[in-house]
Amino acid sequence: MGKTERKTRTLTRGQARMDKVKRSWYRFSRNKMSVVGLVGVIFVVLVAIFQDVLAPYPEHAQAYTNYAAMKLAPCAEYLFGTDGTGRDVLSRVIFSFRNALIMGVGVICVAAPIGVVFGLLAGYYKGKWISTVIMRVVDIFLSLPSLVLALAVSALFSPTLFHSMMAITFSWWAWYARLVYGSAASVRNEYFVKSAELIGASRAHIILREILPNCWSTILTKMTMDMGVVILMGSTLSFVGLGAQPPQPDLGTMIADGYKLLPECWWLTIFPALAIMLIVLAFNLFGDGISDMLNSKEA
Amino acid sequence: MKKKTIASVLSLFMAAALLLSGCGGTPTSSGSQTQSQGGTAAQDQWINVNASLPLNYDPASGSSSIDLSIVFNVYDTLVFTEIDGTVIPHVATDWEVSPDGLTYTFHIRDDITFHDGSKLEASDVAFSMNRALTIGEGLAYLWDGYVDYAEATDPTTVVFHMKSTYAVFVSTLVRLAVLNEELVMANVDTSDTTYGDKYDYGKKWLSTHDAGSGPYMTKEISVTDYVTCERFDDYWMEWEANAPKGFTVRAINEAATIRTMMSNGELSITDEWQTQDTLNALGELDGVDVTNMYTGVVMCMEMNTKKAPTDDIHFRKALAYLFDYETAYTYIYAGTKKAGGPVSTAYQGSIADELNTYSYNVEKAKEELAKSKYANNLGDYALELHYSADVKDEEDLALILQSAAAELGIKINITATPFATLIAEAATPETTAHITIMAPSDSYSEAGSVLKLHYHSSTAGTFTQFEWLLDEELDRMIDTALAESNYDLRMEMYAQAQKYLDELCPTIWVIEQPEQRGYQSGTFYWPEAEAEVNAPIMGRSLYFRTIQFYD
Amino acid sequence: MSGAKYIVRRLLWSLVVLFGLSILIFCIARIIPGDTATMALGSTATEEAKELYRETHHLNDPFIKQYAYWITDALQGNFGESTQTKQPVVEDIKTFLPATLELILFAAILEIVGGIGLGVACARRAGGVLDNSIRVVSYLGIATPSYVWAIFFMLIFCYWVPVLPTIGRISASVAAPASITGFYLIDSLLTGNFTAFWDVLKHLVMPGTALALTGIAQSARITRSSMLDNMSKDFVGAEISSGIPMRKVMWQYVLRPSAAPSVSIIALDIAAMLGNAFVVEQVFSYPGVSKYCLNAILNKDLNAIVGVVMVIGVSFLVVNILVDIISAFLDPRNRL
Repeated sequence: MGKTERKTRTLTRGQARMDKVKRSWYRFSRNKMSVVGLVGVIFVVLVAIFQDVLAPYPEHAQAYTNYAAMKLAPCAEYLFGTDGTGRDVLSRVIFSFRNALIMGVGVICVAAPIGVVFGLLAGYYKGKWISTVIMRVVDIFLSLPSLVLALAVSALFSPTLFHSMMAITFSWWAWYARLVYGSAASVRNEYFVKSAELIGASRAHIILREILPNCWSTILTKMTMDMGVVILMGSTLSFVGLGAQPPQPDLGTMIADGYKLLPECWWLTIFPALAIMLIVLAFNLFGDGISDMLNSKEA
Repeated sequence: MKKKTIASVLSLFMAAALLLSGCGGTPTSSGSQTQSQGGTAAQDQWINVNASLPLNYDPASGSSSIDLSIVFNVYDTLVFTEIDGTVIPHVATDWEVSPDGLTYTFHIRDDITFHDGSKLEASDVAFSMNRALTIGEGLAYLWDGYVDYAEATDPTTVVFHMKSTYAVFVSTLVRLAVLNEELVMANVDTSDTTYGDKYDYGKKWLSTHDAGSGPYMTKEISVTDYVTCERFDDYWMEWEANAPKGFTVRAINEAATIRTMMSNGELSITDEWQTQDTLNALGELDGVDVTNMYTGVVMCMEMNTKKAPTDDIHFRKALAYLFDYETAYTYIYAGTKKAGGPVSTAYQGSIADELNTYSYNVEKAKEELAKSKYANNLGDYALELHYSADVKDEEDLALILQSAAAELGIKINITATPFATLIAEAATPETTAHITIMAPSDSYSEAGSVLKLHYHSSTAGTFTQFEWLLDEELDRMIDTALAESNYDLRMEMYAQAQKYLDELCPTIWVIEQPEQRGYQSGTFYWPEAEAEVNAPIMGRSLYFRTIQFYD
Repeated sequence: MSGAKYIVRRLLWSLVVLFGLSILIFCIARIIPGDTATMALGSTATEEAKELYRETHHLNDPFIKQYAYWITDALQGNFGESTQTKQPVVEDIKTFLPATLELILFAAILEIVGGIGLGVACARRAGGVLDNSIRVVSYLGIATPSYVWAIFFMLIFCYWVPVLPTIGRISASVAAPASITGFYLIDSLLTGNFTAFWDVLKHLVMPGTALALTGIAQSARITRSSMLDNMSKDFVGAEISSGIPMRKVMWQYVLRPSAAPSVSIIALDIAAMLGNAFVVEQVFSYPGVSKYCLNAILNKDLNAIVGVVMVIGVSFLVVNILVDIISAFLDPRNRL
């Protein structure tokens, strides 16, 4: 990948950068759904940032009760209705976006580096005992559905957002390790790695400067594709009662509480469910676009 | 493009709906089919109850309300209680206490047979007490430290030797299920020597069988799913013709199913853990009523007195004044009543009606807060409030306190905690949350039972006490009361202890929580359900023998 | 030949992995805070009773020793007793596992038939209404947790158009078929109990579809695109022009090579169902091993957690090995 830069040396740096951005955007936007995804992601992020401004009743996301106004169906005053405690569902849905993003970003930003380090080591030392040990441990972590492992781990802690993030991270890093191991092992025998070894470059240099850059696109693709999956898993943990605690708004918890009041109070379930679908769909489509951008050959 | 997509989605959903409704047929209907586990219809005179299982079927280890209910129906006890809690002779005809209060002698009936046809004798009673003491699980704490051992002196006389005086001993015997010694010992698991020459003391066998003489006998059981019991025709008391022919307890917890089954009569009585929403819906069904049995349960917010800032008496009082009791009993537990003090009015010796010290009063709360030593650095503390994750309505109680406290600058973090974790947390003052919501339930009908179980130092660290009072003065008051054999004096001592507790304010006594169960009031007469105040004895309300089906 | 060797090697490594998994899960289970004896006996149990329990269950021994006791028992098929049900965990698993397997197999059949069938239909009319619907559902499917599908189905088919039973595995009014295999559908057929068969089937429709829906849409998409790929190949044109009926060409020459990627996706989905079953069983209160395990997790029932997780681990590994074998069989290019 990095080798194509030489051809463009004749252009000025600025031009080259512009050119690169344009080409990336072209690859990204070839699929219209990716653009939809991008718009969705921007929307979700904006909502998460400006939650206090956007929510009609920001105080309803905090310690607040108003039993006189409980379980109101959607109306002009409360567009998404109110819950069993008299809180505005719309405000709570808006406030839950930030937690969902924190969950996704937090887990991936911790799981990916850990997994990448182990994957690089295992890939570089392929055939040596250290690689075998790492990959067997990875196998152990992947020998269970991630959700099951995360559930078992979250039983260790009191239920909070942070703890469920830890539990998911614990079951997630191994995927990165396996992924990076694959690409690192294949790059390891390329001529430029061999030549770096010949001229006596340090191991750290080889791993970080020669091998890692060649795994970037795989890692980035996986990271963007994972956002949606991790957010889904987080919501599933909250759904069974192992996530954020009341009165913190959380989509999974809202659905878990709401579906017990079906069919009368349908708004308590439908709106949070649609919100999850929106967030995850936006990230999935966006991830597809990123993957097209990073992995497609020159058009 | 967009239009096309929407149309496609719609058509797909419609196709799916058609497909599924086509193969659906009629919704599950009942009645016509005869089933293996008794009938469902009223003419079968069968009672169907739902509950949270698994069951702990051995009377020496069961402690959940359904376990205890089944014990009342399958086993006999030395004494029994009327609906209002009055202790009456049952297996025992009469009894004497030695002047030093250390020996109890019971004379028992000679006309009782066990379900296997063998005769119930004094040795069976002694065996049951000694077994309960040795195993030490379930409700054995009632006798642990008080009863030394029991022995049969002749086939109809059993003697209990005490370690110390215990004035309420006779009342606690409503918890001693009489087991068939011969049958139990014939079925011990000889590969397990946990209890030495008693092997496993029949625990394994008793977890799926009964060895009782009670009005109903076990027919089929799966501890996780259901238990079916049928009438024991040779029961020593008279059977009314229209008494239930049997009962089935099933593990069903979903509100939706319970509502459906109540509306078509498949279920006779629901469990007592339904949310207010479900109860309201049940109450609207034809021929269904919701009970309001006050059985002595007080919903408590228990404050850890060994942790800052709830170690400060004024801080605790401030919280007690901050709680909006009215919202709790009008919106969350609609139709219940405010609790006046530590001991529910259902108990003999309760003075809750006189006390009623704390009410919602923000001004008073501010005053108390100003007196507390944390008045100036409230911001340094965040209180942890834990409640049982299984009880949704408790979350609302937590939210009420949280929002009121927030206005005075007190931060409270709420955590829905699985019951098992609450028990684990109770082990030390450090791990116990600042506030824990709990509704302790009790075993015999005197105020002393609550005081001992909830506030005595011996129970600190169990799920019945999250306060960690460890107050020697209070212990002394409770101990002397329980040893006092004069009834009036004892009641007076209970009153003193309650006043002392009220001043100490270790708990926000929220509401008196009635046992609310939906039941088919149009189909049968259930005496316990009709009574306003019930015996504060967990499990006692589900006594099937005296239910009468209407013709 | 090399294939057999490969499989043997895979199996041996799987044993190593299972051993590691047992250590991992055992560690997790033992550091779960809380006193096991208190949880097993109830908090009102006397101190002597709790101490006796700890002694007889080796809870006072050092960790390594505890693990040694546990693994010795586990190898003899004894995972200890559940503190919740007071029954041996193995017995509980025997009771609950068939229900989960039945649910997952049902979902798997839905996914295989639905996924490949719809995929073929989409490929034949690429760009049509069905094709577009499947595309949308597959996007939505990945973005929607299975418990949300479960709740949507419940709302539609239990409340709005009440045609399906809400919860459980069989109606309370229908007697369960005599247990032969533990699978109600098969047992009821074997005993000729069609009332039960019909009732059980109705109970499976919603949880099964909720589990399979995402997978159906995805495998349909994959079948579709690999079929389109293969249809454009020259040999297919040649077959058609040589007068072989279109239908036969589609099934014999296009579908079989196209099925390999779908089959591996489906198999991975089936493995993922072992996880998703946790929430779906919860929503429909389906008495399976996942619901049992979730309750064990919430109630810190150590032996039950370790037991069920090990069983899930074994199933997961077996499915993964099967995937490799099947895809090698379907498409010889993926030689083992």
